[in-house]
Amino acid sequence: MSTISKKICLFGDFGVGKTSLIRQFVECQFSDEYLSTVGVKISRKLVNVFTKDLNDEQNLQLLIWDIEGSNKFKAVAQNYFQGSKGAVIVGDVTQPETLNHIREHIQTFLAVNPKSYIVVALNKSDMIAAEYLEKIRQMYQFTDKNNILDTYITSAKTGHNVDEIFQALATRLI
Amino acid sequence: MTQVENSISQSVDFKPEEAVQIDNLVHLLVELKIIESPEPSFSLFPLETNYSNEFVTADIEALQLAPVTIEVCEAYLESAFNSRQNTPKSAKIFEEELENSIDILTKFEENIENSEDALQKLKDILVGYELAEITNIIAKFEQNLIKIEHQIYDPKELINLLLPCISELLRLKIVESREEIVQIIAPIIDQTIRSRTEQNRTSMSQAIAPAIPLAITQQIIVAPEEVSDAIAPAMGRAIKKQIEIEQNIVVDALYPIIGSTIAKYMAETIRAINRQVEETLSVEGIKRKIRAKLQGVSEAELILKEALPFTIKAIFLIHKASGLVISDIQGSDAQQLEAEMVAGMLTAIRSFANDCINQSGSVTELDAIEYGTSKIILEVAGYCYLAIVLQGESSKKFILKMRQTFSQIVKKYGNLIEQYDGNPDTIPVEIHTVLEELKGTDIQQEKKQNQLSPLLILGLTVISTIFIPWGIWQHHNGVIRSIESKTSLALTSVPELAVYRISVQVEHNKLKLTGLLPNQPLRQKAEQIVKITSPNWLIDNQILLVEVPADPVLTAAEVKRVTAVLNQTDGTAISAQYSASKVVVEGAVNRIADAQIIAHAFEQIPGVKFVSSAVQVQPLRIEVRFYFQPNSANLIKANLGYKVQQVKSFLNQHPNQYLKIIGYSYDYTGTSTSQKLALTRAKAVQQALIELGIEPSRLQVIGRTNLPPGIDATHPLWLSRCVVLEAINKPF
Repeated sequence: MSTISKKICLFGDFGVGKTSLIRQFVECQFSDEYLSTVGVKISRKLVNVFTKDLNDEQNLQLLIWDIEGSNKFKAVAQNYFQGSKGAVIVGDVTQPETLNHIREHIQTFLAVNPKSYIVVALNKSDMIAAEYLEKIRQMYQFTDKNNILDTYITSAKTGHNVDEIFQALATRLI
Repeated sequence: MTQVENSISQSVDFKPEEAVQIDNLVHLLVELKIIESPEPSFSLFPLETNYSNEFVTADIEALQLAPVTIEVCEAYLESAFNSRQNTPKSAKIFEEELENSIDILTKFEENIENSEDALQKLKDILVGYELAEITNIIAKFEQNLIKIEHQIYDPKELINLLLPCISELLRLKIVESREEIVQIIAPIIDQTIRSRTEQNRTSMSQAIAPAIPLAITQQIIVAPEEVSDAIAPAMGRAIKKQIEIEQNIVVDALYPIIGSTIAKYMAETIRAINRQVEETLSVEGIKRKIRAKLQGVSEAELILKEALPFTIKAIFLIHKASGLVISDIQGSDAQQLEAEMVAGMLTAIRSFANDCINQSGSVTELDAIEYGTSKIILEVAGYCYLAIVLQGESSKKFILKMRQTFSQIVKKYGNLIEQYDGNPDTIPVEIHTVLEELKGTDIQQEKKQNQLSPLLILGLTVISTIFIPWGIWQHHNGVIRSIESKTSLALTSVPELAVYRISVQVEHNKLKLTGLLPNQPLRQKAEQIVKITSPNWLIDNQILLVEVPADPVLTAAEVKRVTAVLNQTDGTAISAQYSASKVVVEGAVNRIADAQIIAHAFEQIPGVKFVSSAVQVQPLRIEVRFYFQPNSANLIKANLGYKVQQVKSFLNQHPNQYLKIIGYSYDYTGTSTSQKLALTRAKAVQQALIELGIEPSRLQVIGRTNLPPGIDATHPLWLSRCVVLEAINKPF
């Protein structure tokens, strides 16, 4: 069976750990060193997903566009969203304003790709006490829209939920 | 209805005395048990009883009223349906009549009440049931009537009433007279449509929508000009709007043609510029041109081209929006590029360029990305773009082919490409095949069609500028020379002219003949020969006529020959001396005519200008003389044999000569005796000759008495007694 390729976008505010998430997902590595992404960086990862009837496995090649983070001076380049079937929108649990921008990001993305699916990742969960995490997660549920699959608490450092977010997204792309 | 009236009026006129009769009748009826089942008995009655009277009949008629009336009413009702206009009126009448009958019945009832019980009973028996029936029927009538009225006067009801049959009505009418219906409807149909459109635009649109495309198609067939005129003004706006709505579809639609159109335009423009540049003749321009031609485009470029042959490393067909690879063609031997990553990054770069650089709103595209000696050519269409990774300089031909291939793909599989979602199975194999073919356009083919180097072209140009005129000149000369030699050959192959030197030259498109010829005929002959050999040339005949001195040797020989020939003639004995074109003839001839002939013959000899003739005319002589004894005419025997033979041989030698035999007998007196003797002497010789076989006609005898020629008195006498022979040319 041939491998189906899908483009997904990974974006969020500046410095929330998008590249780290990808690095963890693709290379299973983490570095504390901060490297700012310029423009876009494309990574790919082959995943196996079960088809909807769960009878068959499908190879899925995820082409993950790690898009340069936005800040107050610069919005996310919407051109990069084109043709994307899914998105991981990342927020930083240690920076509340990045979480607040998530809804805005969702809207921006859905404006370009109304039929795409979104997973919200609240990253850097290793830096916050576990008891707050669930509360925060509850606060940033965007399940009012069908396109939004779920909100995950993730940690690029520990790898917590990293594979899960991509897997969850991949399953819906088939 | 009159029946009903009659029956009722009759039933009303009851008299008291008739009651008894009724009673009887009642009894009778009871007995007959008719009462229990009045209806069948009514019908049977006329058959089974004979004593029926008017009243009963009237009664029965009255009883029968109900069914009759119902039928009638039904007929009315029906008529009411069929002719609406009449309905109200007739219904009214009908109603009135019914009311009348009801009144009468009421009266009748009252009468019966007033009468006795029996009557009451009878009434009950006779009409009680029927009455109820009638009342019911009337009630029903009333109801129906009200209903009909209601139906007629209430428009809603009327509509309901007419509704089922109106379509049928219309249908029938249309079948019957279509034209009429058309004429009726025609004046309002536009208004109808308009008002309907105003009422409900959507539904009207839906109603006519399916017909519109067909209608337009039809109209395009019928009157294309009208359609064009109608659509044209909105065309530009429509395209503009479409571009606003969905730019990609317009790009895809135009892509296959716009590339070639622009390419064509550009090629023409460049050609025009080139022409201008070429026409500029300045020292700098020429210098530059020579430099460019010597070096080709530029030396560095040439070296680079040779060092780095043009090769295609990979061809990617990429989905424009998502950057997913639709088709990935790479050489199997070379290092494989990560198609997905390359495609993604290229897409991102394109997006970036479009986003950040193209800010003025103008639609420009990233054409190529160069890195070192490699290059990525990007050819963009509506929903996809082609990225070709190549090394070296791509040729124009390849670019052209690439565009053709790409537009072919876009045209054919545009929709599939647009909807591509990452599943490679949805992409037809043909796309890969076509792109593989494109990749096959490699350097070998390019090299084969490599153009000639400019240096070579320049060299060839120089050489050809020198050699072509020279060649033409050579050719021209060759032609001339061949004509000249051909003509000369023709002239020399004619014997008369062969000995003369005639030269032929082409001068100002004329064949000039020069040389010397001895006479006009030869000159003309030469010209004629030239005309035949070179019919297309004008001839300038410059041949001079000259007198040729004859060859003295030949002339001398000829003189000798002529002399010899002339000496053959009888009696001609000449000798000729030739010196310095003068001939001196000496000798003797028989006749003067011969002397003239001789002179003329020598004059004819070429080279002889003057003939000096000293020819003497000497007739033939036979020196034979026969001598006789005195007074004798007998031939001396000694003479006979020898001398006669001599004469004979002379005559035989000269068969044309005649012979005069002259006998002499000298006698100065001239007596007849002497005369006779002389003649006899002559005859004797004649006789002797005849005897030897000489033809007598050739011999003439003459007798003379004078001295023979050459003899005088001093000579001895015997010499005078002789016969002398004289040869003559003509017969006697």
